[in-house]
Amino acid sequence: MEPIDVALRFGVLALENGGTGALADRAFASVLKSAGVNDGFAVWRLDSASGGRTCDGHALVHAVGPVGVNLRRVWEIAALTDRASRGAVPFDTFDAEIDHIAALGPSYGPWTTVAATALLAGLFARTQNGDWAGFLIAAGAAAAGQAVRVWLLARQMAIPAATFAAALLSAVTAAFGLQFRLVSDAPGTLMAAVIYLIPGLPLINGFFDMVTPRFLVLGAQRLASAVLIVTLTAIAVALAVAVMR
Amino acid sequence: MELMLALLPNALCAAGTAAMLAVVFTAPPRYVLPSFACGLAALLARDLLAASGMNVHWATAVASAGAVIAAAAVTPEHAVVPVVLIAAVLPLGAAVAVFTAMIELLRVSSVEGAALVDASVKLSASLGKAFTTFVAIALGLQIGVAAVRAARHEQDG
Repeated sequence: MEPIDVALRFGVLALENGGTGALADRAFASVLKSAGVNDGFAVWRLDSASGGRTCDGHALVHAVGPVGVNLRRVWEIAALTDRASRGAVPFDTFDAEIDHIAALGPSYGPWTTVAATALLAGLFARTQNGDWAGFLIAAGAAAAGQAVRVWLLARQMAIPAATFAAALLSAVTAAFGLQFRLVSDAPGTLMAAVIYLIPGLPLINGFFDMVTPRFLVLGAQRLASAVLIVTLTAIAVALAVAVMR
Repeated sequence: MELMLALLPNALCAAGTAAMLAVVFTAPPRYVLPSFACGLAALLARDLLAASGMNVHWATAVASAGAVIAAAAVTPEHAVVPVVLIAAVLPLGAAVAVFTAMIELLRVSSVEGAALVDASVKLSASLGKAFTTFVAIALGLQIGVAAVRAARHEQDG
């Protein structure tokens, strides 16, 4: 494989798993450095990445697949990039290293994620002046939504659709629990039930990308995708509130 | 000290929220404890400053900057790891205000009379709160990142 091809594949893997534009660019440059290429360039977007060498005027384009979050892979990409930048990784081994990283699963199993989501929602409800009834309602609703979301994403459903379904289930469950009027802060509890859907990583990566002029478009795309997720979640909450009224 | 003890339960809940956010965001296990510490530091800083009379948005900005510095201090590689930052600053954020604004935005198009006025007031209040909180967090993060870079530059130089 051509060095540019391998380098783009490595950078795209960083983008697809929640890495910043700067990390994708560093990963790209580290592969080229190990191949002895020093006139490479790349342009990063959320739908595609293109790169080439300034000496021949040709560019390759790689599609960027669904952008999820697997920070274990991002961590491995950053570690491999650091080693390659120090000249410790021969170019021939990159393909196998990239395959190895792409095969890594997430740091936590689905049940750990669901349990963490429940605890997250319950604790967040408490920070919003909620009581223990609010803790339980938010935790139960968030766990149900997250379980459905994990199940749907495992079946390759598009992220916005899975998010909307999960938000609707969580919001309806929480709104149903709030009907019993045992909770001191109903809006806080309702929001806590869907807090796990906040697109934190796209928001902060978008912010970091946008302050670097080279990654302005990438950052804007990330922020737009985050706004879409927030909008879908809010629509689901509004629907749940309307149904329960 | 009394004030700190009064604020501690809420800060511990926020710290737990930050740690669980790190897990939900698939952060490697070694970043869960730093997320807890940064979440605790950020919320305590904001609430202490706000309780001592500082404007809550300035307090949020200072707490966000503090979260960056705390992240650089407590993460294993002394790096500003984005996931630790997100987990630490999200409990400071105006998540409820954002969602309320979105809900009122949907509601404002379908109501009339007094309900319309009520929805409009809630919408503008939530938008204002969300906007100023996010600007405060962004400003704080920028100042924090600049401070960490400057400190590192000084160390290297």
